[in-house]
Amino acid sequence: MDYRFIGLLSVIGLLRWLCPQRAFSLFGALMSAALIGFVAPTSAVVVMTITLLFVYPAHRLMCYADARRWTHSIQRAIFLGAVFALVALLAVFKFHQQLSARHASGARLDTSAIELIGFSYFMFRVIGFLHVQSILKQPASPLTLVFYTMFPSTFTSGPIQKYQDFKRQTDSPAAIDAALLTKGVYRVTRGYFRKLVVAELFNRAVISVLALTPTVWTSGVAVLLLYLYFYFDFAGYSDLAVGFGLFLGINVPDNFRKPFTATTVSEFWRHYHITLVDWFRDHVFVPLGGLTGSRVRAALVAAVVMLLCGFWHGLTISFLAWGVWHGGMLFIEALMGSTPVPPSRRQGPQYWSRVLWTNARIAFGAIFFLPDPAATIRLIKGFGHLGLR
Amino acid sequence: MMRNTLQNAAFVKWACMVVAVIWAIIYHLSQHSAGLSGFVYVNF
Repeated sequence: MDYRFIGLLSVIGLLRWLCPQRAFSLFGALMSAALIGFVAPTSAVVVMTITLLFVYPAHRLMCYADARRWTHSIQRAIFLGAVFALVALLAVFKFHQQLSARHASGARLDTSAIELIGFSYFMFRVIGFLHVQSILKQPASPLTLVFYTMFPSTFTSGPIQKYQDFKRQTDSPAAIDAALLTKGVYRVTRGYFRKLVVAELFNRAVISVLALTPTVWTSGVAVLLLYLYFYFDFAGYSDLAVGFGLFLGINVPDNFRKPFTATTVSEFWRHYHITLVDWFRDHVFVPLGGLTGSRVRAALVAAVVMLLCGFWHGLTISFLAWGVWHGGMLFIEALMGSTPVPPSRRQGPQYWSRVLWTNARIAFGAIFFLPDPAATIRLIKGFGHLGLR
Repeated sequence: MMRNTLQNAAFVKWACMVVAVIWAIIYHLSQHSAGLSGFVYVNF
């Protein structure tokens, strides 16, 4: 997402006012395709082609199979075949993205990687769509599907809205009134503030601290700053997505809900990047028997989900380590049956010590997100030096 | 009365954020010759 994207999004928000309610899906599909096509033509062509020539036909085939009462195993094979093809495509894309990122100068991805970044969120949306439709088997409109997969405010990095939720809103679009606009303006302003002011300050602080000789003190401060930087950067982006979504007449779900007050790691993940975690719960954790099996099975599935989540961020050792770190914590918590502190007891030193302990462990995982693995190793080594002369 | 106070507080908070964002943009432009390109980015 860059300033051109945001500028055009604002223009489309204004055009939304002129659009008749019954033509909302048509307007949305056309405007979304035009906007993504203007800013990221490769992404637009790839996403549109996959949506109309693969996802939609696969969905219609599933509906047809259900109407003709094909056997359950054939219907399941159609669904799993389609998902397998999409996952394989995502893996190829990730490999390509990694190659692009390797050629990037400095810590940030180059523009070709940024242009393609929306692709993995697109995959989440279409796999979720196919999964839900394999259960509901309700024929979808291709226009609504294109609007859903290319919805501009969530295209690059979510939040991952559920198809049913999106469809409900396109079927009966909300009237844009003063209250909705006020909310949208506030979220957009807060988004810019978090991204351009708060996250940028933390980013600069991280760079300064990383330049110091690593000791337990500098490593500790760097971990804390990184943790806060990632939060404000992503929460700021999510605010922009929600705010611009409101201008376009769609209520986009929130991605964060006071994650720093969590008292267990699993509670933290129910309040941080909520839509991604919800997606993994609905489409991976539950189908693999995470809810219905034994405690050991639930712990194992939770660990596997975090490993997948790590690999989704990139096929690197750092992200594997991140997945192992978080997966390991969830595995232990699930085995021990750790539960969050109930709302009535959320005060006093015992509660705050649990909050601190949870945040410290999660913050440590942020060092695996450093783009340079050498910097990650230096920080870890720093924890072994007291820095006393 | 209470509602007005809350609304004023929310407005002041919003206005402060606007000022900070404008300052950040001006500061960025003064430091980078490439304009705003690459300022608002997604890197996760």
